[in-house]
Amino acid sequence: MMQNKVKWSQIALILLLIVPGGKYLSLPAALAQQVGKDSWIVIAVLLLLDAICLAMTIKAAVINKHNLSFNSVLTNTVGAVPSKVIYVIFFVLLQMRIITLMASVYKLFAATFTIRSSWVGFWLPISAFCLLVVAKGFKTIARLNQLLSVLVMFSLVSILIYPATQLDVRNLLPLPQSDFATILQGTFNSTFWFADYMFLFFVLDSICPSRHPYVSVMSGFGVGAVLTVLMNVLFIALYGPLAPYTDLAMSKVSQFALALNTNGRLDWLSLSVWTTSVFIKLALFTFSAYKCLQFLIGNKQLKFNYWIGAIVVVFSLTPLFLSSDKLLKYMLPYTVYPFCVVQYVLPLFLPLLVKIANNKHDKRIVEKLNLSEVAANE
Amino acid sequence: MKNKSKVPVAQQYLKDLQSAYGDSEDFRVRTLALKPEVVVVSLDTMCDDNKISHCVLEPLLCLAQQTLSADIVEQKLSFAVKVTKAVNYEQMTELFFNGYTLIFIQGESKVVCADTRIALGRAVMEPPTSIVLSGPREGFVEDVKTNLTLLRKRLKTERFKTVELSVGKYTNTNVTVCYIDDIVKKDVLEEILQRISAIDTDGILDSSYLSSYLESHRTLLFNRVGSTEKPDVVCGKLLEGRVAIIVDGSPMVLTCPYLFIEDLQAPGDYHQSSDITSVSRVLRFISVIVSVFLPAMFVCLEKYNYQIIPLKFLITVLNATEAIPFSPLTEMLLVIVIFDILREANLRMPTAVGMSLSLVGAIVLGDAAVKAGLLGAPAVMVGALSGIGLYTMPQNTLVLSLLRLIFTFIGGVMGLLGVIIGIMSLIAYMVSMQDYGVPFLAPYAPAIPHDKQDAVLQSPLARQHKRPQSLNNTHNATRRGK
Repeated sequence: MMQNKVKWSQIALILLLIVPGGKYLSLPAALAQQVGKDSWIVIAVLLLLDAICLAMTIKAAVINKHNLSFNSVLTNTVGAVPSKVIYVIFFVLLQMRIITLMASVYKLFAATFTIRSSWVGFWLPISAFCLLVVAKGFKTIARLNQLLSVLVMFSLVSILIYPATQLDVRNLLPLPQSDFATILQGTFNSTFWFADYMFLFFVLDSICPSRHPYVSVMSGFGVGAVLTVLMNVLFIALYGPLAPYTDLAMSKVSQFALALNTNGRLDWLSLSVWTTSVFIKLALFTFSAYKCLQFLIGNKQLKFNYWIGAIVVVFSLTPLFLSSDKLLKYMLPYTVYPFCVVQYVLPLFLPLLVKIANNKHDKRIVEKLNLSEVAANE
Repeated sequence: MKNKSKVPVAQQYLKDLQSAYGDSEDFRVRTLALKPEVVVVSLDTMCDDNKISHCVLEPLLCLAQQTLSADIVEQKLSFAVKVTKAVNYEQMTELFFNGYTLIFIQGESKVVCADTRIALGRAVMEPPTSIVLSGPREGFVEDVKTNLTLLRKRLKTERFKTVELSVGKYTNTNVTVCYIDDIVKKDVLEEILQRISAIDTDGILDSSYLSSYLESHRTLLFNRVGSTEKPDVVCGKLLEGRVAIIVDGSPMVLTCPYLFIEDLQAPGDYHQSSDITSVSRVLRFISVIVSVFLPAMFVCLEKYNYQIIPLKFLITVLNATEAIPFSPLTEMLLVIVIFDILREANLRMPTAVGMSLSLVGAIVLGDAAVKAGLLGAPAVMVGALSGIGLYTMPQNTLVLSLLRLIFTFIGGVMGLLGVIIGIMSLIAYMVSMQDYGVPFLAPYAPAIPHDKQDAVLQSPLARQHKRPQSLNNTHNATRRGK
């Protein structure tokens, strides 16, 4: 049974890759439009908040002695109907994250590699990959991530190391440029892009127990968070007042990694390797969305259900009818509050919920034992 | 098959045997007028005449003065040959067709079977599939007994155990499962024995037939069972806690569980310095990556993302491909297919002409195609380099060749995105594979730091204190001491 579980060290590596993965596409420019040069402060605040929630989630996993799944924790504590509501919110949130992330990568490929395919042509291979990975299980995502992590980190460093020597620190000053209320508003508006640890809820029962999970997981998250903040500092320092108009940060920053274009755009190779972390993030969100839909439909099979998988990926065809920017513009003002509840409030209470659910489970076992004893005596 | 097990008398077995197989040319019956009458039955084509006369008939005739029983005959013959008593008809026929001589003693319920198998087959020699510069040169042969001897010669311990099984409705092939008792993981051994016992097929003609039955799920492309012709390699694997399966009639011995990293390990790796081995393995690894992905990247860069190629190199490539009438994808596919045709032809040509014909074919075809302006020199070079690189993993050449074709096609149709997604899907598929509880891509995914001592890089053998942890044999994990 243990072989079907993943280790905390693998979770740490997943966080290391997915925290910076995807946050260096459309987000820096979008944040710069809202809070100007202070976008990196907003990111730092949000990542700090993420760290607290992640710690609480780890705590919940550690005290989950009966290996209860997230849905059984919720059903046993808040009840069946509220659990379904929470899962619906998660499903919508995950679908929106998948669509925005996919749209950003689409733009990246179109703008950087000048590959202009139709959305369906782009969506098809990525969705097939996500479905393959989901069908093979969370363990496969963890192992795939483990194998690629060194390459991704190497490519990230190779992209950022040279531009880091070119930055203009004056672009970051004055510090902070905006007032506290603007930064706070920017932080609240940007919560949608964060809380990448959400996937942990859906694998709460699939993690091997370990003595010190906090050290490894928080280290992985910490390095990822520091890299994310540094990348944004670098972006603002390089582009200064042009930052709000410079979409696809990674693509633009990677240009600085070249001294001469006549040597070839070798940065594109690094960029290609880095995009694997974005695809892993997409697969992880697809996996989480699959789990949500499985619970909502009431499917209890352990085997992968292709119909549920197909429904999960078909939502990301939305940009055929409505662009991801418009989708965010229309949907986010209404959904940001419920999203915040599942992203930031739920994790804070998760250890308590897990404890209650485990106690109830204990009681049920004792009751069963008593009943069987009575039956034996009779 | 008629169930005759209930008939207790050997004479009945003899009658049945004669009625079933008596019309065969090689069916030989000798009746000895002893007390009681003894009938010796053998198959001329499977038995050694000398053994029959010296080890069976002569000792029996020496007992002419005695009243014979199955026990007495067994005792007397066992000085010269291996003797078994068959307790039922099925067992008796199985031994009979394996070259045993059957001795029917009137009135006895059991049949005495003497091992008089003819020693056929080639001598032990260096296997053509794994030639080494240093290290032992012995290779397995088609005879299971000889193969077991080659293993016993190296494993002089009572812990080395074997289990004999018979597989195949018509072939009754002898399958011998070998392991080291206190190292092997019992669950794995039991699962292997169970899988082999459960095989219901007409015949097993070679160990490769057995491979597919040893896999838990049907897998695409990759080997899930190891195979080797070298006894020293099998002994090394047995000492790591693996199980070896010898199939009579096949020089390839199977080993389970199997990891992908074993494909990178060559038999000669353990007979040279670990530093040299590490360098060789890194080269092999790079070769495999280059072989599979270089044509795809070349097509992809030439067709879609030529900006990645350094300017001077790009100009050279463009000059060379300017007049080519095909698209980069078609051009590369042509090169690959021509290379594969040459390889296939070379495998089937007589050895004497094979080498020269393939060499001439490659040079003439390549050169003529470039000069005629049909193919570009860079594409020919990339195709040839990739084709040669495939042979650094000889057991997987065909699989890698197929992957090369698939990735080239993906690169040509979908560009960089397709190649990235293709590579990720391939890795995802590989990391998901698991047999006998052992992950296929261990020790890298999942990471098992200890097992990296003998993976792409190799630490000195003297420092490899523990057996591979990926095999989960926790009860005897240390190679030295307690």
